[in-house]
Amino acid sequence: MKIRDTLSRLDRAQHSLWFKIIASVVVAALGVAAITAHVVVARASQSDYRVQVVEPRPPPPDANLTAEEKAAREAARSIAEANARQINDVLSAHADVTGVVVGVAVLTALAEAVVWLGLGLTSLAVLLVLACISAPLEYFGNQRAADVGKFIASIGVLTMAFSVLMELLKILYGGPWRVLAIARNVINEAVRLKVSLVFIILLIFGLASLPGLLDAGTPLRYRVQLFLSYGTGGTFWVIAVLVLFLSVGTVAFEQRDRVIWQTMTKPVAAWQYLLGKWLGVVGVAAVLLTVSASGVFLFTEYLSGQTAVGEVRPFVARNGETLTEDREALQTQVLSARLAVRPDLPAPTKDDLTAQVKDRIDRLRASDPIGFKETQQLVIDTYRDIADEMKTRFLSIEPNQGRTFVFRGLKTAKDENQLLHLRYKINVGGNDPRTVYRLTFFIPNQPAPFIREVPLNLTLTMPIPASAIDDDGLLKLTVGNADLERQVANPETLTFPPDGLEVFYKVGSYRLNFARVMVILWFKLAFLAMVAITAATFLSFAVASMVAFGAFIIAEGAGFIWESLNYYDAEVEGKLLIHRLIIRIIALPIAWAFRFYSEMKPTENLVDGRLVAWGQVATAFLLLGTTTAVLYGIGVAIFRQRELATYSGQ
Amino acid sequence: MRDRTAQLIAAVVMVCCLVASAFMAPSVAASAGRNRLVYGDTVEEGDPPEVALGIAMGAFRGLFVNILWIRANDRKQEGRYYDAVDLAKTITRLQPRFPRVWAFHAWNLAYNISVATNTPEERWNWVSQGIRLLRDEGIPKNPNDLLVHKELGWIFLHKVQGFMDDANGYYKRQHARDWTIVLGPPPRRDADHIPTEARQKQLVEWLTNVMNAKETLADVIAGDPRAQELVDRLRDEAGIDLTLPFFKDDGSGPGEQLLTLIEEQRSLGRVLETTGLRAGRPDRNAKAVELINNMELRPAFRLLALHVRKRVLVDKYHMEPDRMIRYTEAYGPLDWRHPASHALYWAQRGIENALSRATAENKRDFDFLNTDRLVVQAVQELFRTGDLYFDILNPQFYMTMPSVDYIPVYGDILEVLSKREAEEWESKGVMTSKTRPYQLYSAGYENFLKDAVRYLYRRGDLNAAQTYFDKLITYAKLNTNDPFRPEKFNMPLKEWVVKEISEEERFAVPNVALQEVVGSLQGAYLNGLLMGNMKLFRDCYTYAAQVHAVFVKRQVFNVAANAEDAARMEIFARDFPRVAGQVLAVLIGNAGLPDGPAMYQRAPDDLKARTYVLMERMNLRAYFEQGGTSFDVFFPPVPGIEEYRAQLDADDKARAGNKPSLEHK
Repeated sequence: MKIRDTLSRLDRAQHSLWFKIIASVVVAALGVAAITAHVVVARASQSDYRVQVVEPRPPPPDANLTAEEKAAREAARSIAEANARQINDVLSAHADVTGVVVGVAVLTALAEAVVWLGLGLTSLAVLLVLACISAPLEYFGNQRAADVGKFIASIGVLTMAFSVLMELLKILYGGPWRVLAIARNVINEAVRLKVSLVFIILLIFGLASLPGLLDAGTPLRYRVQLFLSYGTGGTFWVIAVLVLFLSVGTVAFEQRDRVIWQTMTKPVAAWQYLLGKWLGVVGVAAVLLTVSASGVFLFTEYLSGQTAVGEVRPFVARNGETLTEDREALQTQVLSARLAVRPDLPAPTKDDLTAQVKDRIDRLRASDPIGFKETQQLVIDTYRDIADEMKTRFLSIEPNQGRTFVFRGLKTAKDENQLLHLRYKINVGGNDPRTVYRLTFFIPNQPAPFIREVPLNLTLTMPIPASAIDDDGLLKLTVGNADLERQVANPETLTFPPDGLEVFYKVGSYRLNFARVMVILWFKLAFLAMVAITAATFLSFAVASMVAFGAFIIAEGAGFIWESLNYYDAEVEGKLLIHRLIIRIIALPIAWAFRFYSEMKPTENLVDGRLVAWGQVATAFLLLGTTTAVLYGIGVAIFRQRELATYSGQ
Repeated sequence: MRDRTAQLIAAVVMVCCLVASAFMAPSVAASAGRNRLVYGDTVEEGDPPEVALGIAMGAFRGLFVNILWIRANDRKQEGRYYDAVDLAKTITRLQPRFPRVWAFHAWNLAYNISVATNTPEERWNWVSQGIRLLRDEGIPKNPNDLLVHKELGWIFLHKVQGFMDDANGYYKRQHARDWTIVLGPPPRRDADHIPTEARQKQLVEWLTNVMNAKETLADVIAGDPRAQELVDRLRDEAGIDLTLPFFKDDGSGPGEQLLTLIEEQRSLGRVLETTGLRAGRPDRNAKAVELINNMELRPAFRLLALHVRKRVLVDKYHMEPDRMIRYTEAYGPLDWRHPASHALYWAQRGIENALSRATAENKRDFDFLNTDRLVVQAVQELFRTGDLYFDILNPQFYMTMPSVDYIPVYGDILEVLSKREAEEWESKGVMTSKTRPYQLYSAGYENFLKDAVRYLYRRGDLNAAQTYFDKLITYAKLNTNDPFRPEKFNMPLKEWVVKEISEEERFAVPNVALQEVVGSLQGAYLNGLLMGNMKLFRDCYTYAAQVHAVFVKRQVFNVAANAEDAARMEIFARDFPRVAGQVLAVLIGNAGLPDGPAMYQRAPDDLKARTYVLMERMNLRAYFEQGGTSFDVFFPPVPGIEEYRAQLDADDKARAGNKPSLEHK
């Protein structure tokens, strides 16, 4: 009895205003103190991680340097300074407090929300219980026990965050409008419906176990990429499946179980009903995405501060080196937002192209004077073929030959003294996997050419200093199909595929990129929710689920289908195959319709450190928003025609 | 009625199938057992969860693996190695009895991903991951599969021992370091062990010690009661806890720490032995070093160290000491710091295990031909580079020299393989008693014999050179497609060698000439001076002088096209004594302590004087004085130094005076 009384008193206390105010102040003070302490420590140690420019040895006092020698010394010094700046830029990530500030801010906001929801003491008790379980496992057990401890703690924190955000969502949807009332019901339904609850639990368990699956022996950049890939991509898929089930279930089950009668007998219009359902699902998706995105973001920040390959401790390279390759690649190629530039390709004049097309068509006609038929399609195809051949020819280099490629628009990179990255891939014949070519790269303003071993049909990366860019922002890179050092030419002609030669430069931060990727993912979820709701307006749960899943799979794989259809002609060896024709007739418009969806690859871009610009976010909003609106219109139109009073289930 | 008929038919079909399976199952199971294809279809305690997952997936496992394989390939081509590696790992877990995927995965790690990185350290990380994948996981799960063995042998021979990769020097040094730690350097080859058989016996004894080492720590303690005290003190005083697993992937396990310290102490002991100086490593674990040097605990330490070596060798490197001994007896004094020894070990192991499964019917499924070739190539490589010089405290000095020990075995292996090939041809009717097709093995053997004869000649081993020269002329299985062949060999040995180096086109290339002269001098210094074999030193030195004279006579360096090269390659002056001094000075600089001073001290005085001056010019004085000991303690001056210094100055002035005329050309 006493314990129950005490608990009741504590519950009353955590709901009281004075507790909330005091607890809020304490939480805020703790947050500020944590941030301040971290900033102070990070700033204090910043100088330990900086690289100094090594001054060239001064010439003897009596040395009479020529103008050329003086210029060479200046150039050497300038390159040394630029290199030191680039290294310091990478190492400055050690003192970058943004991640910790964001993390502490998120946790503080969460804690404040907990306090004002009247759950301050309850949450504190839950955290204490978790700490009591995890801490002994962490400090007194072996590695496996420590992993279990972290797993339990992660599950607890994620579940708490999910519960709090759901409560906040209910408050957000707390207005007196009918639409919001329906949305609130969906939120309650999300944790009540077994099918959605399963996925919520799956998401939380999956997210908590993901860090433990990373192999500590793998280079740090690969671990970060793997975590980002599965963290964002994997959680998106789980949430997407949940959204589909919840959307279909919330509409279909209400009709089947006749619960909808209670809603629709009130003055609720069809558009209000469907909009409410959609808002509810989208809200739940937002909560789940926020929880998982926060988890992924914070763990990525933590992971990126771990020891990389070749380091004795984070950001400190072994053997007196300034920077390890693993760290450099992580900071500049993964935790970054970069743009890619491709080389200028030959642009033939219209007259030249027309002349070549005419010449080819004439030759075709001459080879088959009777059967040849000049069609509009043939002319178009010939134009395209010749243009492609010119590009391929330009991107091909014969043995012992070289070619200069010009990359434009790199002025900003030069001004900011950025370290650029060349991403390249070569094809030779059938791309024998056991063959390795040795290429020579002549990069302007570098003391010697770079020789690289290049396996065929594999993408490789090479850093390029900003000093290689000229004052007009042009990078003129010459590639030789030979090893200049050993004086050995490669045996065959090599070709760069159209996407096989790109120069990357930084244009933004990884963190904002991450935020934009999450926004796009949320748009996608909102679109999927509407697909599922619309399907459920006229189909049973099972059929609507199948349709919604079908649409989801097709949308995600539309790029692959589109590409496959290019190789899947209806005509084979001059014969028209009916089954192929039917497949093409069905698949082509579907693949075309969903291409815009599949071409948004936010997760892949994030993992590769490619920029996802605000423009792309706006495009996603417009395209997905329009499609969603159309689907909504269709759904409302159908739903208004539905005879809901009819017994429709079991 | 129709339903009932269908049910009846289905029941009959089912019964037929059951009866058929009852008859066939025993023979299928027996065949699978005979061919060691049985893999647990039930989850046992200790199995990783993915085994259960794989079994649970049932028939869908193959489909799933296909999807993963396609994706892994795509990701690799896109440069998304993080995902390709992870997917391949998943495939190997789901289908551990699928050798090709192990090979694919290991190849990716060792060849593709490694070259995508730009530092030797990271490249080595990937190459060694590829090796570990096959050796630690792929082969134990497919012990009789030839492909996984061949792939592992190939990575050792081609990737680590080969020269294609820019970081190959780093790989070799790391490999030598790892194996110095596991087994220690092979025992010194003193005068009693110069003959190959004696050396093999010496190494067999050395390996036998490891093979017979105690199996467990408890056995060690039972064998010597002081071992318990040693283990306790290592844990409490030195922080090396041998009750934990001895090894880790990165080589930082407690057992490996202990072995590293032992080898470092051994190296420092050699410094003391050679120079009389007591050196130390203040940054090392002082307490552990104290225990290593504690003479009272020495017998217990020996037992313990051998036990640790055995466990690391067997449990981490998955090598069998008895097999290593057998191969040492069969192929020659294998130095396990050499990658080709490992290539030979794994390729031959694969052949032996696969032969136990091969039958007349399934023989075509095994790639014996290419794996045999790998064994041959490994032996050839051991002939070219089998004498290895490496010191754990001076890892930059990694030097290999040809080894005569492998000359006979190459011929023996070819006999076996050639016979196997001939049997196959005879069975196909390609070869009769009168006709015989061109044999690649024989072509390779002819080149090998030429190199061997020249090398034996340069070492002054004229009897052996003559024996192999005779074999070169009379070997019955050599290809006879060259009509000028008899003419080429119809002369005495000495004449043939001179003709070979003076007329062979490849010796007209300065780099090849350089290799021959420098190679002979290095042999003179390493095999002769360092090993205390002065006859060998004199023979190699004389040969180098002869070859140098031949090249100078051919005016290889006087043509305008080579003038610049000769000037650039400072080591290759026209004055042979200078060349000899330069090669020794470079070698001493690379060898460091204690081998550098050891070679110097055994050299004749005139060579010492030249080397002394040239070392000064290479700033080696400051390098050797880093530890605070005078340069002259390591390299005592001899008469003639001042004269040579003056001569060099005069030569340099003359050369500087000539320089403008070269630039005018």
